[in-house]
Amino acid sequence: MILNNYLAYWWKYFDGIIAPSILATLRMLTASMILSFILGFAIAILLVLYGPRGLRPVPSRYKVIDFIVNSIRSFPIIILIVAISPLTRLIVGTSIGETAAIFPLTIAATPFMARIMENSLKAIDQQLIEAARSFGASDWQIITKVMVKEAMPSIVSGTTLSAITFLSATTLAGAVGAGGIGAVALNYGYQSFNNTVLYTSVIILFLMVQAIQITGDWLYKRIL
Amino acid sequence: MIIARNINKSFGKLNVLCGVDLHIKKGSIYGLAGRSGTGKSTFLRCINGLESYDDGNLIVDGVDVRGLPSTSLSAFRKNIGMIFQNFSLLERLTVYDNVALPLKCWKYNAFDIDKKVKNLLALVGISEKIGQKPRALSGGQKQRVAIARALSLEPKILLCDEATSALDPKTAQEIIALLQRINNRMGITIVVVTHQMSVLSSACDEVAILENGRVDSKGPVREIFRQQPMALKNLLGEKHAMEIEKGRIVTISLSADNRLPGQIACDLGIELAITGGKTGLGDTSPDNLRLSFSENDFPDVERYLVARHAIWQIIHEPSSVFKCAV
Repeated sequence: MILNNYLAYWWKYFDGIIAPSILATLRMLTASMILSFILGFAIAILLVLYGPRGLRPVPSRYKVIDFIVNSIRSFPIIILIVAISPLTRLIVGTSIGETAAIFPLTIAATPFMARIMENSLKAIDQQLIEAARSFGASDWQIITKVMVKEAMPSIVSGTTLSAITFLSATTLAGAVGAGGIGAVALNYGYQSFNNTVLYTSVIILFLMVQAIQITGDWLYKRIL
Repeated sequence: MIIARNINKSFGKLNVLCGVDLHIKKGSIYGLAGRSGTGKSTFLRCINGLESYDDGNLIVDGVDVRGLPSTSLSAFRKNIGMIFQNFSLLERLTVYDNVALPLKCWKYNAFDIDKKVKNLLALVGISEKIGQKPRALSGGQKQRVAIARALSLEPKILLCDEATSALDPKTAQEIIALLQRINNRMGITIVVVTHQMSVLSSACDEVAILENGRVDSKGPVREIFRQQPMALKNLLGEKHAMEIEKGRIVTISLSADNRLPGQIACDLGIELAITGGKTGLGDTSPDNLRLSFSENDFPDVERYLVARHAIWQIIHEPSSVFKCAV
């Protein structure tokens, strides 16, 4: 009887508050990951192209991109979200809510992704690139047919790592009005002293991280 | 085919190539030997423009390498295949796709690619591994795939950068034999960078020995081995080289870290006969190997140079059976 009452109580919160917030978190995470993957990938290619041991070294261009990447990465994510909120308002129209959170999350995740992918691409054996050069492959062919191809497993594990890092970032964003599971845990769980909501959220976050890691590992093994 | 005149190159203050002059004939197998850091690989990489040089003239197949704009460099490289010490295969592609890669980069159609790849894999003797990935292959098999890939665009020149250095002596010999066959059958000029005597002796028509960025000696392999220039002795290392006169018996100790005499012999491209009638390679490991020379063994050789516990002077006569007493 007591258990049934508790389950009914739990379901009320889960159905009404937690479940929608899970979806909100997943939407924020997916959108910001897809956007930052594309942007980060493009930046990573520029970095390996212009870098010191790159395909077509241009130190001045490398330094500029490198500086921007480092600068954005030097902000703690919650500060970045708050600091660029005027810009967010300008672009998205508002600085509060799920859609508004995607913008700063993407800005924060892009340099992170760029670095991870740059490292994956740079880890390719230099001689493989020389071999490709020796049969006359162009820089673009070397990037697409050799570097990206060979770096794929490491890009996948890097993306898994980023997804987990930025799952926690979305919960942080919850603290400053983004919504999602993080906001629920803080507002309903912590500030309203509702342990049921707090620990349900914790377990859900734990399961989400596991799901991301397992998917990433599976993909890694599959393409290896 | 390849004419180098006074090639100079430096990395910062370090002069890697100092006035290299070479003439590599069309259809020949040319060896570039020398110790590590003597510039032999750097020179090789100048041939297909992977490395630039500061001064001099390098004419490859009638084309001045240095004057090439980057747009024609790709087309120029199409004529020059290259293989490497560590094979440089894409680990995530199958054997088929590795060999097909240059053809795909040059936009051959699927039908031609398929035909060429299958022919090449048959040529290098690895057809049965067509769907495997490189990690399932042995070193020798990987190098065969790399050779097939290097030949896919039907180059006129094949550059081999220490291509057999990562292989055991027997496999190395097989790869060398394959290169010779390719040279014979297709008339491709092959330039081999190596520090392995066996490669020079068994495959090369001519050799240049580089020392400190200079060509110390060059000429037909037999000539160079007969003359035994200092650079050659340096290449072998003081410790491992000693001269023996005709008619003397020398006992050579083989310590535990040394290779088996059979392997050494194989490395040299000679056959080793062990007293007792046993002829074979690799299955003997005596502590002491006595090498005896008699007047009749090699009438045209005055002195023998013992290198790495083996008589490599005998490479003059690759087919001769070397007598030794254990």
